[in-house]
Amino acid sequence: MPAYPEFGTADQVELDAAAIFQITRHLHDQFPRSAGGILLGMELEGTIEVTETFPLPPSASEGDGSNLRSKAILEYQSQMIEQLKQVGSDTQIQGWYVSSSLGAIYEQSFLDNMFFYQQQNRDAVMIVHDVAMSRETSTLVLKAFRLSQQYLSARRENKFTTESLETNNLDFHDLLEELPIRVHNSCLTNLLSTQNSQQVPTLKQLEVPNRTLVENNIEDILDSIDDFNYDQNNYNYYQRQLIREKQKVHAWQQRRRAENAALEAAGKPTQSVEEWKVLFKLPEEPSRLDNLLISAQLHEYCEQIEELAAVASTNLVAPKF
Amino acid sequence: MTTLQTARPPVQTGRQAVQYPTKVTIDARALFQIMSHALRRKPDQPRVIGTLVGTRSDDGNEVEVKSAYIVPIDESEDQVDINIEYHKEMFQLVRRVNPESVILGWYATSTKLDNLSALIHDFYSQEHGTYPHPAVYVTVPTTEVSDIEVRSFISSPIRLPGDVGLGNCIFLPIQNEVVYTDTDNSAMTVVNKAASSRMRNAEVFSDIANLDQTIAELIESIDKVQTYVRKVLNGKSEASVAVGKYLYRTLTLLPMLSNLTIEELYESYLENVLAVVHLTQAVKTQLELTSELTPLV
Repeated sequence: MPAYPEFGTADQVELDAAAIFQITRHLHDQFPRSAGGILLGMELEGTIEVTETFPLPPSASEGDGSNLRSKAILEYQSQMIEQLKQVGSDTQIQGWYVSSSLGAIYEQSFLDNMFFYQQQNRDAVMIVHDVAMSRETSTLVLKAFRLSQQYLSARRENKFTTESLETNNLDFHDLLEELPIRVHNSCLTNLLSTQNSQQVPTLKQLEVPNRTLVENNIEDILDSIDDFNYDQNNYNYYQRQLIREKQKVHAWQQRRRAENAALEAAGKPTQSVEEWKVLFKLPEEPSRLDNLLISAQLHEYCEQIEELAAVASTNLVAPKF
Repeated sequence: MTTLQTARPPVQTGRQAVQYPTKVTIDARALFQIMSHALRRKPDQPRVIGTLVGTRSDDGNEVEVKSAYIVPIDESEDQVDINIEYHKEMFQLVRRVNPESVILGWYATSTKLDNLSALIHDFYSQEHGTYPHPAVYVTVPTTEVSDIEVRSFISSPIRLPGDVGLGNCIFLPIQNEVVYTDTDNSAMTVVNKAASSRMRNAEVFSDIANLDQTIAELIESIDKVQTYVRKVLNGKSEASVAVGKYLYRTLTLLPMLSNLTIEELYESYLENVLAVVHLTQAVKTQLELTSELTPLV
């Protein structure tokens, strides 16, 4: 019986400069293949400090995320941690990092992996680096997430029915909880940074977002909407089924009552009205998790477009002043 | 008279002549790794050393250091113990992520070039190191009071006639360069931001302030060019043909557009942007509605 994760108390993530370079370079080198790795560090007074990272072999992140928890990968992980322990690294697993493309982060496998790590360490986080976005906009798109308290309690009951979503107060906004990330420099890094301060400025930030970027983003939205409709149709089908069955039950109950009235008049014992539960089977509500995921993803895409648009409009308007 | 021989020849190892590398490029990632390794130095340890992993060009002329890992060593006055098992295992693990990686040599977090360095270098040139290729040695000063200046060396054996001892070599400096890719530059922006704060921290996000700074930088560069051009026109400064040609080329690349056309282009782009935003907001509203209404049914 797996232990269910308690909810972490940390409220921010702090990355070492070396960790940032390792994460971004690894993921960029692998792009467009998705890749991932492990974050090591410790939790200190509400801050998750990531001081060391290591990449996982490519097979780890291909296909569905279950591979990340496969035996070979876990073995690799523990070997690597054993090695790093000998040279004085932090060895507590603080979660994992993974690449994403244009904000696609709401995947079932991501949630499953996250659940796995949060089971082991309640303060585990997932760091998502949006490679495509970072490339296009020349900025560092790095975000930290963990599963929300609401999702964890819904998952504990292992059902995602409307009712359980209601009681756990879970809607698509709060599947994941975002934590702020900050970078922390060692004195050495600071020295290097001040030394190189006369770097060539990157003017790429001034460009208005590439048209293809926005186009791809809109295509993603359209795909998501299709998924959403498909899921919604399923749900509507379920609802129609449910109503039909309920009508049948109702009709049956009416008949029963009428019979009962007749029996009563004749002075005979009445029959139970509740027997319908044996005779009829109400359709089971499909899991609402897909719907949550798709909604959250769609929402994320929209946010992203708005963000791009914000950049675009400021870039367009700012030079006028 | 005793003669001292130093050599940088293609050394014969087996049948094939081996080319010594003449240039080392070091990924920013590897440099940052080495610098964070430097922090793990134990008080009684003079320096941290480790293995450099990366790729070697086909002709062996250039090597590119992509990452580095620490190797535990025990250094005393006149001898050094390298944990060979550790080194071998770690390399196997690294290779599973990047099968094309090879061992390139080693690094140390101090600039020392002493007898022990020669012994370590000897180890790295052998079977568990870069053999049959020569090893490179990269130093990153972190214990000295100095700038962080990365230097790379290869070794050349020197020998007094009749001497057969190990660890006699001379370290020859070779050209090296730390490379920042676009990705590294965007990461560096954040690191630079942290460097200028007192707590050495910075939040990771992109914002208007960024844009502001970039525009300021752009204006500054244009000013610089303008001052230079004026100076040349006034005869106060020497005209450089190279700069002139470069400026001319850059200017001819600009499309000739009237202000009005530019304005129009801006407007139409802005309209498109706003239309897209409008649509996404409609989608978001629909989403909210679904999520609120479904439980009611």
